[in-house]
Amino acid sequence: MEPAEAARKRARPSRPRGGGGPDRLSALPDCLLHVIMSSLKARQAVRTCVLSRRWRDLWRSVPCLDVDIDEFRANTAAPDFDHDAGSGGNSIPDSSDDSSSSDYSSSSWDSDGCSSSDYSSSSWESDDSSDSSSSSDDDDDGNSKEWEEFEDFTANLMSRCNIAELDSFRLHIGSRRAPPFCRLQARGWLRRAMKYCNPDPASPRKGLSPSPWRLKRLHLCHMFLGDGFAKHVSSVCRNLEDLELHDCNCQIQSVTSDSLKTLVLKNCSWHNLSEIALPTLKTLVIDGGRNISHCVLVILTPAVASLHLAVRVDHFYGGISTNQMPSLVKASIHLQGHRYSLPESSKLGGDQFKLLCSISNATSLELSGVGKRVLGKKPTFQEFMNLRNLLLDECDLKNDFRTLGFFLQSSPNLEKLTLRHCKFPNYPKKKKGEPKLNKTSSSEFRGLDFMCENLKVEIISSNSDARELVKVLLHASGNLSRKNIKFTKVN
Amino acid sequence: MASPAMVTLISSDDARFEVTEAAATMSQTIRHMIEDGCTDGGIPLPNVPARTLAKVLEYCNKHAAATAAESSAAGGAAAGSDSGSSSSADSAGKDDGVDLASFDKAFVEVDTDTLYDLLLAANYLDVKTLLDLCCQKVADMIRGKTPEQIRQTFGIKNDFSPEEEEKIRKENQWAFE
Repeated sequence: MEPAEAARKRARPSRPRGGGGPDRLSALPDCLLHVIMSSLKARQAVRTCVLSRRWRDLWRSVPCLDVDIDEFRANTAAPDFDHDAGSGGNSIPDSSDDSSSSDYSSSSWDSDGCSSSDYSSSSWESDDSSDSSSSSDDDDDGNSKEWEEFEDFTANLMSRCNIAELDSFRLHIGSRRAPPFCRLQARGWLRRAMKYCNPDPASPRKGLSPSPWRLKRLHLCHMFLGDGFAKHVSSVCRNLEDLELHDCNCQIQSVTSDSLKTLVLKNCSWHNLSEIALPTLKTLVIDGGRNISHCVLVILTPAVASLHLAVRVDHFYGGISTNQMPSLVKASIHLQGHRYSLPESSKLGGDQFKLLCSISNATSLELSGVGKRVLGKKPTFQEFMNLRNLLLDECDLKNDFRTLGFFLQSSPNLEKLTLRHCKFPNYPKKKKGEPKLNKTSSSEFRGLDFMCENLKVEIISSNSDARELVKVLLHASGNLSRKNIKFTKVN
Repeated sequence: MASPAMVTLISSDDARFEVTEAAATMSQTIRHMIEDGCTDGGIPLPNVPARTLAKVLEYCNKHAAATAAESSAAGGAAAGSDSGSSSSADSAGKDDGVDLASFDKAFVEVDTDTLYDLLLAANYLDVKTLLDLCCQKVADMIRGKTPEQIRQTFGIKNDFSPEEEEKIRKENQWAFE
């Protein structure tokens, strides 16, 4: 398994074990071998070319490419060759929120130079120069060698593989281990792949007009992406259904496409993202990351069925505005830092009534981390007609249950309410009887009739005082029965 | 509760299997046959021997049951109580997920011949998740191995002449550095 040993083994010609039964693997049809090869990382998939004649050209038409610098780490390096093993180094991909800004311009996306030629330092000012220094910290011999190998491999692969026939493409370049210009180079590969993805790889420079790419899934990690990329997504990748960007640095204003069904954006830095307009989108995940400029992000995804939004409110100063999502089934909203932020520090910090209205068709809603101001001063009534399952997680409900009362009153079909690690108001305890509600709480709950008799309430809390909440709920609603309330104490 | 609809499947060696329609229709091939009304007297599957079909159906039964359990858990939440037990519909669903994952893992711990049989049957019957599972298993067996180790594992005969192999390696030098 280890390189040296393997190299020695290879030196001896050896025959298949046990004289060889029939080779049933090679007998599988191409399409099945392609599915198998699609689970391999790109280099290993290409290396199957030496197995036998049957395998020689299979890799060229493999439908899924997974190009990953992790495959070039010293300790997983080429088993056939004598590698200086050992210096795996600190090579865990940096997934932290390094908002590595840079001076790289996106304007040259469409220029047709060699990949590193689109380095320019004009378009916008850097406010963070830590990127290059943090990269060079790790830029020891092992890392640059690793990158060189990776670069050679990828550049070759992109020109020899039948990019036009790809179904799925994943490109993962490391963040720290690669030289500072790596993301630009990688962008060059991607740009060329997208631009010249016509079906004839022998003459990729003919017929420069972009033809539709049949690519369905594109998954990029640690890339620099500009508006040119976004344009290609909407104009060239006409079959793209699934786009995932992890830890990418994006100078993209607007993400549009007529074909995308799934969009996952994890820990990406955006410079002025102002629009996500995807009429066919079913699943939208925005997890972490930041939008550096103060522009508001407008999300127009009328067909979305599943929404996951987990961002720090102070990383999206400009706020996020969404249209109605009438087909929404499942929504999960986590506004990190909402409880502690001042409304003026970020547009996402205060009133979320509008956001809640736009997701009011959901059947299942998870709302995490919001503070007392989530509903602003005067929420008007909004009905959550379809809501069956509501989870309030780490929410501050100390505003005399205004938030809770709002949801209970607006959700006539609610079946399950879970309150997990929420903050509840303190009530002066009496020895006997119900806790005394102050006037506001009473009025919030007055007339509150849980229309669903079968509402189940689960309270998960480390604070046994939350038992008081049970009494409050029972007091407020005649329909709610004690046996439908479950209290779980956790530490 | 009404007893679930059953269908009969007939293997290439004429063994008959009675399974729930829910399990059988995990196979798109069978689903189409049922939709076309070709179920009288059982559904013949001339490409799948009994031994393989039994194994495929074990997979389908397990997954169909898990799907049914999941949807019923989602529909009516488990009866709550004040007992303080921490089980809930949600966590039960997750347990099922873990359970299913370990079932899948164990399911493909078979000799390579059986694995190919399953793979081909999953392909013919069009059970996508099973096909992916089998292909993934084969890929796991390839991963991290040198070409020679791969040949040994799968009994692939190197039919290149030494010159040819040299040429291939040279052409694709970039992938072997």
